[in-house]
Amino acid sequence: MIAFTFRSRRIVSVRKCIAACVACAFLTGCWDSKEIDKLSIIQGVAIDTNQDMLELTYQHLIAQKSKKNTYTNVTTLDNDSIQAASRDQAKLVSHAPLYNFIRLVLISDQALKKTRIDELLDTFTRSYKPSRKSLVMIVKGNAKEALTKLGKHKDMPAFDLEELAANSVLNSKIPRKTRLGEVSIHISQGTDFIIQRLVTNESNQLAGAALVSGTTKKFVSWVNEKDVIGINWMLGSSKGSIIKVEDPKTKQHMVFEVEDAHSKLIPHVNGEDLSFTVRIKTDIKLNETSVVSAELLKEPFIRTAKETVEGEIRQIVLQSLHKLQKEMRADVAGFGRKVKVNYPAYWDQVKDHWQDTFSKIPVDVQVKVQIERTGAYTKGAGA
Amino acid sequence: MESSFEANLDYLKKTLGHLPDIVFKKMHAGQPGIDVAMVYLSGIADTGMLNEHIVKPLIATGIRERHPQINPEKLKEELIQQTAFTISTKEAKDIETCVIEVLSGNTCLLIEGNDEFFVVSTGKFPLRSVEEPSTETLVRGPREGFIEDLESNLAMIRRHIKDLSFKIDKIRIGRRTSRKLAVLYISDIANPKLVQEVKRRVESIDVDDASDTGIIEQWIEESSWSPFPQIQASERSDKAITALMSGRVVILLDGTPFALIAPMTFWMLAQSPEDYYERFPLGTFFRLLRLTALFIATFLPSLYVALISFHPGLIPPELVISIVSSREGIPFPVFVEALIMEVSLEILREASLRLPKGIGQVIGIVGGLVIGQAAVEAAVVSAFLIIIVGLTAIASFASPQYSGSIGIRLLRFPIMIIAAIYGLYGVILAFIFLGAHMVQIKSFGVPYMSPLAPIRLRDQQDTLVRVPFKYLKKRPLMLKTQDETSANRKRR
Repeated sequence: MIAFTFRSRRIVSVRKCIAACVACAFLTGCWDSKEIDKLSIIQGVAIDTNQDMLELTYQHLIAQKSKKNTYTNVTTLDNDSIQAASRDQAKLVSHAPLYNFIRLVLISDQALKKTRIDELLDTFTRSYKPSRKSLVMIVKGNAKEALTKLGKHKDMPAFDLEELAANSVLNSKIPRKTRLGEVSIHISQGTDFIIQRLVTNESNQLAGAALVSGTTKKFVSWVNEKDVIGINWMLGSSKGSIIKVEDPKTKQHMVFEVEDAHSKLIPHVNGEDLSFTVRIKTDIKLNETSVVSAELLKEPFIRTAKETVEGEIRQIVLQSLHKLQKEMRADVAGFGRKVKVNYPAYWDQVKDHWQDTFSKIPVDVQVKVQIERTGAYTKGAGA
Repeated sequence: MESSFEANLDYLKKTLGHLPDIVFKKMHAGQPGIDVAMVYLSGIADTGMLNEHIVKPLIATGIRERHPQINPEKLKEELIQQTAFTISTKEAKDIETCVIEVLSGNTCLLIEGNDEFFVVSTGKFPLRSVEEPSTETLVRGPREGFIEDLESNLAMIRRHIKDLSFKIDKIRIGRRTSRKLAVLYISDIANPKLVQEVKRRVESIDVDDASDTGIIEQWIEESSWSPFPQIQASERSDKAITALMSGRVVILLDGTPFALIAPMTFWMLAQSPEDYYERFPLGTFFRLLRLTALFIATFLPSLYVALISFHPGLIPPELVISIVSSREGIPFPVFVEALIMEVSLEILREASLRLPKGIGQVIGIVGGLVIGQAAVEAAVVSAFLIIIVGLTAIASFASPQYSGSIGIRLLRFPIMIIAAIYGLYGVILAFIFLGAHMVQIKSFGVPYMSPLAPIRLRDQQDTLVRVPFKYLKKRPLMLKTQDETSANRKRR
């Protein structure tokens, strides 16, 4: 009918305009107008278990003109469905929930032990459309508890945790933040990965990481901070953190800040034998030292410092690698992917028992350190 | 011969005699002399000028020539000689023109024994002094604006163009008012077809009166239903001159300071003479800025409505929180709220135009600040919307073309309504419809969106950007000018 209207020359243009408007109304559009102030903005989600039930806690934002914005936490339960639990909010909250602004998803270790991570996050990656940038954290104990603790700056919990997670650039004990999008990549690739671990006492605190298995997609174990440092070096994400070493002669400490860090995992396949070289390159600068006699600008000091740091990094990496290979048998640094990319034929042979293969491959760690700056003055006598 | 003089005088008496201030002054020139009659309207003709420049020379001629039989031809010659430098004298052949000249304040001189009429420009009207145009002020550039008098305006342009091919074609417009209208062009630049078309359209206008070029504009434009101006109106003499130099045609009308410049393109809404007076990076920056402002003025309120009530997910999270908190306790949906503010802003703008100048400023402050502040505090509208509306209002003033910006002011409302019904989808639809409309309208055969649609690569150097003059050697291709080069001919 509409096509006829447009083709016909006898119908005047005013009528064509009306016809066009009517036609537009039938096209797909967004018909559901929802005033923004009639929606409830959800800032964060916590997933817990409560006696075999899934317990879902949403942090709703209460935006106020006169006072500071506050929040309210709404907890709902369901047997196994996140979606069903979400919908139960309708019994409690008058405003319709707006899921677009979810900043973080907290999962308790209990929930992750019971349910697979892809099941838990499915509804968030599939239908509710929070940003793929929203963060995922594993909470030791009660996850909804973490959503009640204000930050040190009295920020709302969801805001505070989001910013806290970004602090991995300041401290190598904190693993890199994990986004929802990254989790879904790991899930689909079936790789092991670590997620930031949150401990809630008086306040929220980042402490180490949680290891999630790529095969079972469930919680495996905690990773302590020392291993996280090693993993960070292997992933090349130590930039901004510090490294503390002891001067071999004086036994005094020196602290270096990592200005730049790169790492490369290089697989070598020789027949049936697979080996790896981890090559770490880093630029550091001296930030703090208690070595009194050191001539900071002189070559001997710099060489010793360099060698000490190289040894330290190498040791850290080897230690955590050993733990990952022998104890946890988890490939979180992406060794498997390197093999898959570089030697796809070999990968096909080993992929089914990669966990075993990974735990046995010899890894050589090479560290190259460049000291960029040692500070403007020397501390030595007469200098 | 004598009968012709008397007959003409009789005719004039018959046609003009009923006017209360008409004067038929008969006098003798020379001893026995010949009759000379002056016909003028005492109300608008400058009698001092008349005395000084016509009567005196006539008497002087009469005294010098003491011949019993004065020769009419001689008298004519003398008259022209004597008055040549002081007064403009024209000879008219047609008595009908004579009547119009008398009605426009000039004096008609009839000499016995001569078929011709002399028209002496004695019309003296109060003239406004040349001022800076108030609608198109510039920081840098000439301060000269057109005034209501056509001759003065022509003088302003003529003064700056000393070119033999600068042509001024005058016609009269208005069945009853018979105003003077001038079509200006440079004959070896402008496309002759364009000039011909402009003249044809102007001549075809049949109205009782056209008191502003706005009326002329609407008679000769192609699409009367469009919200966009298709002919540029300007008070600036430098703008008119630049237009002439680029091969456009300028129309001046007696009684209005607004000149018409044709053809016009959409991009001229974002162009100001200052783009050329300042160095090129600034000119380019300002053009892009004005285009952004045009977009903001058209779409910002509707985008706000669409985003708030349909797609909150597209707003950055922190912003959404501040919007939500600013909308706390607002009783209206966002569309109604926006409509209230936009309409009250338009009322405020309209009202402040009508107010005496002194009060206008006060009302601006009262309306803008006090009402806005009070409305926010009373939770009738949200503070965020005030920002949106304020930004829109400011942006709509950024276009150097007043008539363009009012068109956009009007467009804002339908787009807002569409946004309230269809959301962002509606805004995009409106954008598409608007775009489709703009590419299909034409101004004197030149597509409105050219040189971007259809694309003319050479004209890009002076459309969105303004390249340095070193590279700007050619006139716009879309105008199909006869002489394409405008600068640096030697190095061609």
